[in-house]
This record gives sequence, structure tokens and C-alpha cells, in this order.
Amino acid sequence: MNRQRGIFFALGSVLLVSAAQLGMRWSMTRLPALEHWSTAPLSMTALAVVIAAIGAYGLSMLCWLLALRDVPLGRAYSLLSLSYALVYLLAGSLPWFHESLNLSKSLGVALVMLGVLVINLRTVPVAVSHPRSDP
Amino acid sequence: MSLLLVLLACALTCLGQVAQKYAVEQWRIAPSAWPAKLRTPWLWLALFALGLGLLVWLLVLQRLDVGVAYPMLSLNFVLITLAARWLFDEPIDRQHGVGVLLVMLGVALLGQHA
Repeated sequence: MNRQRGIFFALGSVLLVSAAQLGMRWSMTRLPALEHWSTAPLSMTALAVVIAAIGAYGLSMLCWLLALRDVPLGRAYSLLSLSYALVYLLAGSLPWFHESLNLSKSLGVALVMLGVLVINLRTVPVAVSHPRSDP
Repeated sequence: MSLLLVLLACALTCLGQVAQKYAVEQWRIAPSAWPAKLRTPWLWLALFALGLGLLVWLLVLQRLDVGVAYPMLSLNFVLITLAARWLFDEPIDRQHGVGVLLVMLGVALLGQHA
């Protein structure tokens, strides 16, 4: 067990999955709706970004598996909950996303994070399943 | 409609994980070489469900703010807990139950903005 290495990979996974979610949102809002894909013009930039985002998502899964060699599953999930706050705060403050931050949304994100921490920081380690549960 | 898509993405992801669990269980019960392992139908169901889940998720992001939609994915912790309880007979302690309730409350609040 090498704790420092495990945390490094877990945080890498958090950053990659956050970037992947932001990239997917940015590109999907610039691509046509599903029913118009055959007729509407496709933005090559948006297409490249969505492919890169899916790649980042795959890399985050790889980092996740590497992190699990050194960090217990519960701790890893606890760190992963940081990505909820990160995505919410970045999407709400970066100008390209036109999303807003408000009290009720912030409370929702905080409750979700608290719930994930309460589930995963129990003293009895109950590993539900090893693969990560988010697309 | 958007919220239904979020639920569908969560359900597919959960199905993918349950199928992975069954695949691993099958390998454990009947150890086999890699080519045989790859023929486990559970593995292919898992990959199919996770892939389809990702596509549905992309459609969600066409409709909902990512700052609202992404934290709602934590609904997976709720679904996986139910699956662990009902499919795998894993015990759920009180603290786990409280955590699940907190996640559901948070998702309900976020759902108001979807």
C-alpha cells in the first residue's frame, strides 16, 4: 500500500472526470439534437471536444483502478464526491457555460456530497462493488 | 423528459455494475482461462449497458445544466445500495441508510432546477 500514490491517482481521477463532464456539456450544447444529426451541419470542434471528453472519462476510470490498489474503496468514493462540487462551481463560474450558482442548488450539491461521505466513511468497510458508479 | 433521461442513465449504469459483479462472481465460482472469461455474457451485458448509459448521458447534457445534472448522478449510490440489498443480500447498516436519504434529499433539491 502506498497511500500517497493512491491519493495522487484518486485526485487525478477527480480532475479528469470533472474535465470530461464539462467538455461533454460544452460540446453537446454545440451539436444538433439526435433527430437532426443526418441533416444539420456538425461542428468539427464540438465533435473533437466530445471525443476528447470521452477519452478523459476513460482515463479517469484508469486512474480510478490504479488508485484502488492503494486506497480503500470508501475513501476513494469520498474523494470522488469532490468532483460534484468542482463541476458545479466551475460550470457556474466559467463564462462559456452560462450556468448559475444559487443557494438551493448549492444546498443540493452539499447534501449529495454529505450523503456520499456518510455512506463511504463508515468504519465497517462494506465494498458494494469495485467499478465506479458514474457514466 | 430530461429527468427521465437522468433516471435512465442511472439505471443503465447500475445495470452495468450489477452485470460486472455477476461476471466476476461467475469467474470466481468457475475459474477459467481468459478467452473463456471474455465469453461470459454478463461481461458483454455490462459493456453494453455502460456504453448505452454514456450515450443517454450525452443526451441529458444537451438538455440540462451540467452543474445540476452531474451531482444528480449520485443517485447511483442509492440504486447500487438497493441492488446490493435485494440482489446480493448485503446488509445495509443505519449510517448507510442515512447517507442514502441525504443523497436523495440533495437530488430532489437539484431536480427542482432541472
